[in-house]
Amino acid sequence: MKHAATILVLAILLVGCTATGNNVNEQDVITIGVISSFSGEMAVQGEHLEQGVTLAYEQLDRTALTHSYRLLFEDDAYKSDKTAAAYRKLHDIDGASAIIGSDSRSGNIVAPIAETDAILFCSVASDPAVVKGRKYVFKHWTTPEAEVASYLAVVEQQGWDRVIVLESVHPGVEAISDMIEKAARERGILLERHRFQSGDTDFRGTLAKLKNQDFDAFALFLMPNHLQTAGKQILEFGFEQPRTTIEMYDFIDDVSLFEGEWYIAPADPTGRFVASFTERYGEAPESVAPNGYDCLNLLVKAFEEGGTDPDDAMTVIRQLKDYQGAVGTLHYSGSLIEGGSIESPALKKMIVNGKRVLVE
Amino acid sequence: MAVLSQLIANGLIAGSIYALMAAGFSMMFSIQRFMNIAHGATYVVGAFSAYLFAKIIGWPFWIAFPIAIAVATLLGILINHIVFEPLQKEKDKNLALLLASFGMFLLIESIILMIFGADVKSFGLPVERGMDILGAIITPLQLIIIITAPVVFIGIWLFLKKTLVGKALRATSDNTVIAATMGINIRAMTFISTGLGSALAGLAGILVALEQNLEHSMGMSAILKGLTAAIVGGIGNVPAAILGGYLIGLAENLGIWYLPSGYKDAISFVILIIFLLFRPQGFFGMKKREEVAE
Repeated sequence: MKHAATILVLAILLVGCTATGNNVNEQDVITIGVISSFSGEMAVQGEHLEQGVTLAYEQLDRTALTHSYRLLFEDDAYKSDKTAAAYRKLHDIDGASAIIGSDSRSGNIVAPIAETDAILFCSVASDPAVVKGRKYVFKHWTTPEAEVASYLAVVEQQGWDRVIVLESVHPGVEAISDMIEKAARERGILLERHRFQSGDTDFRGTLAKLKNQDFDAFALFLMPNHLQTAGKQILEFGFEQPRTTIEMYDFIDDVSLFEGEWYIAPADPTGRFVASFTERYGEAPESVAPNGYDCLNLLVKAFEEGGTDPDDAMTVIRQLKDYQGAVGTLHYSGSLIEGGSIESPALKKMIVNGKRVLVE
Repeated sequence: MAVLSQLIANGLIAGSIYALMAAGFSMMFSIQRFMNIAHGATYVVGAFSAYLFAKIIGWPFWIAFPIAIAVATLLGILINHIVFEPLQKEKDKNLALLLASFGMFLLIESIILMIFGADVKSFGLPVERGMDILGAIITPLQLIIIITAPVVFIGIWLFLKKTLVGKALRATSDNTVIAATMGINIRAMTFISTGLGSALAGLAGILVALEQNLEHSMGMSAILKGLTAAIVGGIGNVPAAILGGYLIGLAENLGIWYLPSGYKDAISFVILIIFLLFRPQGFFGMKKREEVAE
């Protein structure tokens, strides 16, 4: 019994010493965690983010850096409980000082915890709620305001006055839909919204009700598993109205089903980024890849110039102006009340011969 | 009127799939007496096997689909043999079987994810405008679904009513102990019911994959709807479960005539709750006599 107690005390001491030793070593290394859906319905997006972040990490000029950086990825499989668990692991166990996230859904889960923990969080999100009232959170995506304005400009140009919105129940989608509905109403355009839960892949009931109605276009604010089926069922019903969207055609591999349709897309990556990305991966960057690239570089810049204190590091982000990023020249815009984002322009694109082509 | 025709057609298409799942659930439940959640895995494996054989390897549909159904059937039998049969001997078997079947479902779903990845897949069939049938727009594939399901159900009904094995299955379903004393091989009956049930799930998976698309997580919604249909119709009774499938399909689709589309799932679960509260034996099921204590 005496021996057992001695061994237990020694074991505890040994573990304690090892743990302390680790902490001393890790103080020099800044850990940046990436939370995204590397599996599940949005795995394509996760893959794009991982590619962008990894490329930025590989290209860091380590000789010029004062800190070392460690990059860790956690898969949340597009499930909210896993997002929170992924954050807890990165922060509590791995000691992450900053997080990169890939969408509004995860953004809304991580942002409040990161804010409480004073962890820098770069969210590739469109929902303004992710950053609202937060000091340590910023988003890097073309703002929904810019996308909505561009979308409605095209709608007005076409002379449309009634658009049918088919939307997935999703915070990012809802944020865009709410915004576009309000802005459209102000311009005298009627938006009729139909919402679909994530497991629902049958749109025929709604399409049946729309069959004899007079409207100008569809706005498909649907997640990838919804988008393909809805696009197909619209054609099967014989609707001839355009199937427009904001961003969503960027998140599916095969866009041939939407040949000839236009949509509003976030800012395109620069030629320089496309070239280095293509050289590394043998394919052009898609969706969130350039934003992931920028997020990592911005966080490293913040820690290098501001130090490890989160307030000082965030000051560097807030002062960002004319920064040459992967999606062009970036500026920080926002306030402590409304939250801040790294701004970039919205673009009109079209599906031509199965490819996404810039129109204006 | 055209809207009503369309909603009925939509209800029949969805109902056909639910009925296939529910029939499989019921067929297995009638012999094994537990809710086999792994049934959802055979549905997913049926769909992905068809995708593998037809789309990736390039076999013609008439070869690929029967083989895919055979794969789903074998998987169901294998799970039963390796996992459920040993657990049937356990004292507290009901909970163990339910958990084991759920575990198998998650395991197989993860294996599918590992092999095929998470992105949404499609057979890439050309999109064609549907035909106008009594005011409803129906594509040839949807017509195949509407016709295939009843043909399969008639086949099952004939098998259960007219063949010796079918009669033995019904006898086992009625009372396992008496069936065993009459010389019926219960293990063989479990084997046949699992195989048939899994084949139905495999077929349902293929039809949905052709009509919509495939993703590794497609099984959960199929389990929920199939189980709801089986309970609403009357679990353990195959024809009742089939009718339950059509009932749920039609109720969901007719329900959204006035309600927003987002309430479709809620409609079927409200029906399920009503049945569980007021008619737990299901629409067509009969109340079980209370077992007499030993």
